[in-house]
Amino acid sequence: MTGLESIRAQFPIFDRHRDLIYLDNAATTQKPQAVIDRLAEFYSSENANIHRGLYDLSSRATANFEEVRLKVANLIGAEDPLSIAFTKGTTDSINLIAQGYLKRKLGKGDKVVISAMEHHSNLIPWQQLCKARGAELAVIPVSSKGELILDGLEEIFEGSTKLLAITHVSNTLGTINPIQSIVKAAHLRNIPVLLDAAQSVGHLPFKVSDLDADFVAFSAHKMFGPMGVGVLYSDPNYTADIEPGNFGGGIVRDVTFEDTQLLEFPQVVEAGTVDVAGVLGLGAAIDFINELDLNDSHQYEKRLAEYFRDGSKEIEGLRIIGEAQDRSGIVSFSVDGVHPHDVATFLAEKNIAVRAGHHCAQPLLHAMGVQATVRISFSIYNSEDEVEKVLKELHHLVKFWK
Amino acid sequence: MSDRLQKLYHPIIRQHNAAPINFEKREGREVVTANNSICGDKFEFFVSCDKERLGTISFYGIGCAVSKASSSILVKLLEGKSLKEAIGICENFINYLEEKDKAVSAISEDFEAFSAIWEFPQRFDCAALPWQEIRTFLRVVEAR
Repeated sequence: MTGLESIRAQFPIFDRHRDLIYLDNAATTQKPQAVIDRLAEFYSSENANIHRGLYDLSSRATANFEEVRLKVANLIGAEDPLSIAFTKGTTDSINLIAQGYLKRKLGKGDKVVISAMEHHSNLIPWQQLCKARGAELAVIPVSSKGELILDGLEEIFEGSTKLLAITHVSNTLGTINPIQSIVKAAHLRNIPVLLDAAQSVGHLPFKVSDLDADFVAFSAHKMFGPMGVGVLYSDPNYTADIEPGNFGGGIVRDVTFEDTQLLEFPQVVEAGTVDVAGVLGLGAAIDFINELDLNDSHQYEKRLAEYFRDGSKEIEGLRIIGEAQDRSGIVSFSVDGVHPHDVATFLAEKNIAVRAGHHCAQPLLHAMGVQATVRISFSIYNSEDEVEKVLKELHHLVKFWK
Repeated sequence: MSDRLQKLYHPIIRQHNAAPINFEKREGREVVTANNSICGDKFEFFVSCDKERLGTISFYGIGCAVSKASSSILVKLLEGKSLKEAIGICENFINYLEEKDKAVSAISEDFEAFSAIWEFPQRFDCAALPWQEIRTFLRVVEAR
């Protein structure tokens, strides 16, 4: 078996759907058998609630659960596993920082800075918070190539900026933002930075110590793990400042009718029974990722995207949206005179799964001068052969609509 | 090119997509918005009418071939109709798309161009939304 074959063989979806060309990986990746098995194994032979159980099953489930915290910390290069909290996903992590950290600190005349490239989930929580607190939402603009315009960064930060929330990789254009230098500029002004890493962790080498972000949010399901589980990393300097979004069991030291003494981060933001099986599934996904070389994965996904970009030049009226210098395995495009939905329907007839629409980034598309795009996003199980099939169908499509 | 796709992109749909009727903004009309929040598609209808009857209708915006053609055919079929007639046509078309009443296709061959929607349930909203929004608007006008 070649490398590609042995990778594909680990994903049962490709066995059940032999013709499937799955190019919607930025929405969610497929799951390797090991991840699926891990969920079943937990419920079949390990099921017990974690923490405080004095019997063997519970203490083993707790230990396995906590071991994943360590795996996550190792994956992203965080020194302390207690800087890792489990959430429901990227959106949940971001909202937790908005409500549990920033809300108290944000007042009239203050500012939150985001970029024009944000997914709605890294835009709306800040927009709504700013509205409620009388603060300003400032936006780092994007160029027609799909790169952030950083010349005016100093001016944007000026005044009382309380947080910068920014995406590592654009889910729509595939642009990889120069996070290190942006964080540096923010930190010079003592502005904490939240990084939306939903499209980067598990796809490319990621070291939180190098990037120096103070908060990092990502989802298990975009890196071969289960849906409904995510991560919030917080720099240890900020963990004491994060209040829980939910109150309930599992986050307390002492409770009376008058008052409650809460535990520390990360337990304090994990109230109630968390998705233990899902977290263990995330652990299995990390084991899977650790077998890969993330630099190779990134180069491979990017190479497929470049192959598509090159081949698409032959297609009349096809326009790539987003030509950033540094980019990932995500490509957006439009076809003159054919709406993205019609393109996606065409491809779907050949079992090619792509996404059409605004990709939860309406303001970005508006800035790029389009209403919607077709988005192709690659993963390690895709192939050049699949790219060729897509290009062939796009040739047919253009001919049909002429 | 599969038969299913040929059917979905019926010649009538392609023709209306390429050359939609009254595809322009007009001033001083009532504006009805058909906004598909899932895909970000948005058409605005510019409607002149009184309590009894529709006058002219135009529309403008961005959407897929199915939604654009459906909007264009809406203009073609509803202009100049009484409110009662227009609401009836909206209902017939929506029922047709929902497969509740396949026989109503007799009313207009334009309806038949959309029969492939039965095989493409993901595209139901593309065809139905303009008609649903206009029907809601007409009921409001009727009740004024």
